[in-house]
Amino acid sequence: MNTVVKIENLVKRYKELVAVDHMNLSIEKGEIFGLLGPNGSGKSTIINCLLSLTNYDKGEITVFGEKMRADNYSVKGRIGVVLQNVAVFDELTVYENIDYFCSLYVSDKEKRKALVQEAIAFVGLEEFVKFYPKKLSGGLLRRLNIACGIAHKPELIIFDEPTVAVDPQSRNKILEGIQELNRQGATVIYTSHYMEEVEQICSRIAIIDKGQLVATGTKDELKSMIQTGETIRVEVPEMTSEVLFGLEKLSHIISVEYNDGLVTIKCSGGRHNVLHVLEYLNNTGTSFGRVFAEQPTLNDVFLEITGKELRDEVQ
Amino acid sequence: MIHYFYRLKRLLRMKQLFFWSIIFPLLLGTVFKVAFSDATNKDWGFATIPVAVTTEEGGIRDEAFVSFLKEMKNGDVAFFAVEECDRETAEAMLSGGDVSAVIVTGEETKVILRENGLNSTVVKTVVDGYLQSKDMFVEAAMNGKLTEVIGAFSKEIETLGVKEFEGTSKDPFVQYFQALIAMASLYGAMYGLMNTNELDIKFANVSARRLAAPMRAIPTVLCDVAAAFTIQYIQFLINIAYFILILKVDFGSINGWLFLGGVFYSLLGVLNGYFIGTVVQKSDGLQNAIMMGCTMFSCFLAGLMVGNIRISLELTAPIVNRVNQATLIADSMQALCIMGDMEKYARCLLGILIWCVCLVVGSILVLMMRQRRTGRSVKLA
Repeated sequence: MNTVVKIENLVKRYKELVAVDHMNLSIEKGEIFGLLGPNGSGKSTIINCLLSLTNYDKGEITVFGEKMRADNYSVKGRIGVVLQNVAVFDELTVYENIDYFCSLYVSDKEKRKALVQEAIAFVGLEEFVKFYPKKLSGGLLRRLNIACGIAHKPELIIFDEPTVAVDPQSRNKILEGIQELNRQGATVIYTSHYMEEVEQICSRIAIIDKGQLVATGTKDELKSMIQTGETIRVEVPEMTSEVLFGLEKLSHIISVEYNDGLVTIKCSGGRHNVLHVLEYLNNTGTSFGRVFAEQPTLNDVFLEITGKELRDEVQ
Repeated sequence: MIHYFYRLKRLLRMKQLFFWSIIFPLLLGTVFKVAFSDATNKDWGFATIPVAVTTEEGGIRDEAFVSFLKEMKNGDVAFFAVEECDRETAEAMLSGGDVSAVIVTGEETKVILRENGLNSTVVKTVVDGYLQSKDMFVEAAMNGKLTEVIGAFSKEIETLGVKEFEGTSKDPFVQYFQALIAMASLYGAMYGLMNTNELDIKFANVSARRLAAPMRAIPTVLCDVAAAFTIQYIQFLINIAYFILILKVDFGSINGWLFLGGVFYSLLGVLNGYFIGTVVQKSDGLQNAIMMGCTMFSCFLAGLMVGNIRISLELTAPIVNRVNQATLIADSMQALCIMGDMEKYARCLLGILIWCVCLVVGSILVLMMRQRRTGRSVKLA
C-alpha cells in the first residue's frame, strides 16, 4: 500500500467556526506534500487532527493503513513532528533534549545513542551539544527543533511551518535538510504560507482556504488550472493609447497595464508571447528597454481561485 | 525510568521553582528564628497563669468557682495562681501585667483580658466551660467530687492545644515552623501545575511534541508525579534538617513516623498543583495566583502569620482545622512530635490522604467532563 495518509471528509468545528470543512486528502509514500494556505486557513488544525492532538467532528483519518487514534501507539511511533514553535526544554542541553524526545520513541539506550548522534550530525549541531537552548541563535534553535522531531527516524515527518521567523540562510539549510530526509525515504507533510518554499520542495501541493481544499496537484498541474499564463513586463518610456490598444488585441493577451514607464502584460498560455509582444512594439516604432517574463506563481493560482492574494493573509 | 530522570533533572534546574519551594521557606524560617530569638531565649516551660478574682460590688462570691480555679492542675502544676482582691486592685494588677486576666464573679461572671494570647485563651476557655457546666461543678463541690470533675475538664482543655506546654518542646513558636513546613509542602503545587501544563497544548509548545509521541498515559503521568514528589520530599528533608540542625528549632521528639508524614505532605502539595492546573484553564498567571492564594490562606489558618489562630479556630470553628490542608500538616507534626498522640497523628494523615484522593478523582472528573463538553482532547489516551 502506497498511501501513507488518507483524510476523508474531515470536519472540525470550534463552536460556530468551521476550521476544517469536509477535507479530503491522500498523501502517497515518498512524497513531499505541501499544505499551502494563509494563516488561519486550517493547516495546523488538520495537522492536530492528524496527530490526534485534537478531536474532530466528522470524518476519518487513516495513517499507514490504520485508523489514527490517540492510543494508536504503533502508528504514532512511525511519525515525527517538527512544530512551528520551537518545542524544546530550556532546562536540558541540546544533547539531552534530542535524547529525551527520542526516548519517547526508542527505549533501547545504545540504539538511541546512535540515533541521537546521527540527528545531531544531520542538523550540524555537533559543536553545541552541551549548550542550553537559551544560548542558541534562532537558526540553531530551529535546527534543534528539527533534530528533536526526526531523531527516531520516522517514516512520516510533519513540518508545520518550520521556517517562520528564520533567516534566509537557515531557511535554505532547513529546506535542503527536508529534501535530504525525503531522499532517505521519509514521506513529508510540509505546511507553509510561503509559496516559494512549497514550490521549491513539494512534489504535490494542496491549497487550502477557510478550511476547504481549494485545489490539489503538482505545481504544474495547479498552474495549468488557471487562465493566467506568463506575465511580461517591458520598460517603455513613452506609450500611446493606440499601441496599448494594439497590444491587447494580440492573441493570448488577457490584460495590459501601463504605469510609470512599465507595461505589464498578462498572457493566457500560448507560446512565444514575448516574441510577439516585442515584434509588435518594433513594428509600431515604440522604443523599449529591459524585458522581464515571469511564469505564473502559486500566488496567481490562489488569487485566481479564491479572488485574493495569498500574501495578503500573511502576518 | 529515563523520563523520570530527565524530569527530575529539569525540575532541579528550574531556578524559580527551586527558589520558591526550597530557598524561600529556609529564608522565611531564618527570619522567624531571628525575629523570635529574644522570646525563645526565655524559659517556656509551662507556667501557672496568674489571675485576679474579684466580686462585683453587692454580689455574692462564687465559692465553687474560686475553688474550681484553685484546684485546676496541669500535672502537678496549678493552672492558675488566684489572687483574690477588690476590683480596683485587680484592674491595676492587670494593667501592670501582674495577672493575665481578671475574673469578676457575682450575678454574672465576666472575664477581663489584657491582651490576646495563649494565656488569655486558656482563661477564657476555662471560664466559658465552667459557666456552661456550672450546675455540674456546684453539685460536684457539694458532694466532694470536684477533683474528678476537674480532672475530666483538664483533659478537655488539653485537647485545645494547651497540652503543648507539657510536651517535649519548650519552644512556644514551634507552631510557626510547623506552619512553615506546611507552606513549603503545599508549594509542591508549583511542580504539579507545571506537570499538568506540559500535557496541555494550550500552555506549552513541548506538550504537542510529547503528546504526538507514543506515550502511554498512566506511566507518563506517574513519572511526572514521581519526579515532582521526589523534589518535594527532598525539600521537606532539607527544611526539617535546616530548622533542627542549623536554626536549632525545638520541634519536640522527632521520630521515623515524621518521614512517613513527609510523604503525605509532599504528595498533597503536588496533587494540589495537578488539580488547579486541570480546573483553571485561563492562563498560567491566573493558575499561579490561585495556587499561591490558596496556599497562603491555608497557611494563615494554620498559624503562619497569627500564632494562636489554630486554637481560636478549634474553639470557634473546629471543622476548619479538620479540613484545612496546612493545619492538617501542622497538627500532625504537633501530634507526633509534641503531644506524642499517634491517634491524632494518624487522623491527620488520614485527612491528608482523603484530600489526595479527592484531588485525583476531582482532576480526572474535570478532564472527562471537559473532553465531553468541548471535544478538546485529554491528549493522553
